[in-house]
Amino acid sequence: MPAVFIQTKFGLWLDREQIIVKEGSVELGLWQYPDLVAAVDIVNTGDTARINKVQIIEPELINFAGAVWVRRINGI
Amino acid sequence: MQNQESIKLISKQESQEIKNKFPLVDRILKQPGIRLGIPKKGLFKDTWRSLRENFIYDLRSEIPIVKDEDRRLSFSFGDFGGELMLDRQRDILEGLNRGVIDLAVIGEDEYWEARVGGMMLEQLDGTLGFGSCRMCLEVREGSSNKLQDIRASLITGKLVTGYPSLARCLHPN
Repeated sequence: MPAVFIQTKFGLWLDREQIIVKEGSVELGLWQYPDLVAAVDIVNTGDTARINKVQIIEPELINFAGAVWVRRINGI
Repeated sequence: MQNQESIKLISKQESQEIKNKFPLVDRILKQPGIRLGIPKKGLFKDTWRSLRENFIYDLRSEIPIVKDEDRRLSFSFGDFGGELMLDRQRDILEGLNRGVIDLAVIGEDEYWEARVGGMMLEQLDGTLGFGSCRMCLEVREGSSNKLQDIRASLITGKLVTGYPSLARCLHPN
């Protein structure tokens, strides 16, 4: 396996060629393009519309607590 | 009357608790000419309410209607020339990175995507208590949900994401 590949938590081997960045509706992208096999994306609490369009294989890759305050390091 | 007084007392106490929870933010917001960025979609309504109730008391009570998809909106606030800017989360992060925004409210998902992607950002104090979400692995409805099948499909197929930096670093354990 080439060193540039990265093993993800769910056991998939990915490199830059295999990841497509898509803004907006990722699940629609899954349906539109046959070469898109899976998606890693955010599901918001209570967001059921998108759940009906896809199967969630791993529901909690990461849990995010919510909105946070952010500044640049060494900023004001 | 007694009831009104007790409600007022509780409200003051809650307000002080919020200030204690965000000491750095509270101090920074009082600096002259502070430029504050908040999301104009998604987290916007909760952020506006939280700002008005807990941090910037002179913000107007009604929530502004953001109609223009592209135009950045800004408001002045406070007695020291503070500026509040409404923008897309990724544009706010870019503004922080370039130094045109000093402080921002951002979803933790977008914050970590930017951090892992190399932006020099830091989180201040705690979370605001709204906007929780989960990062998931998804496939089309009707396709196989077995990991070995997905793994085999990805030899020729692709994975789609809005979070490429986080997707690449989801290591085991």
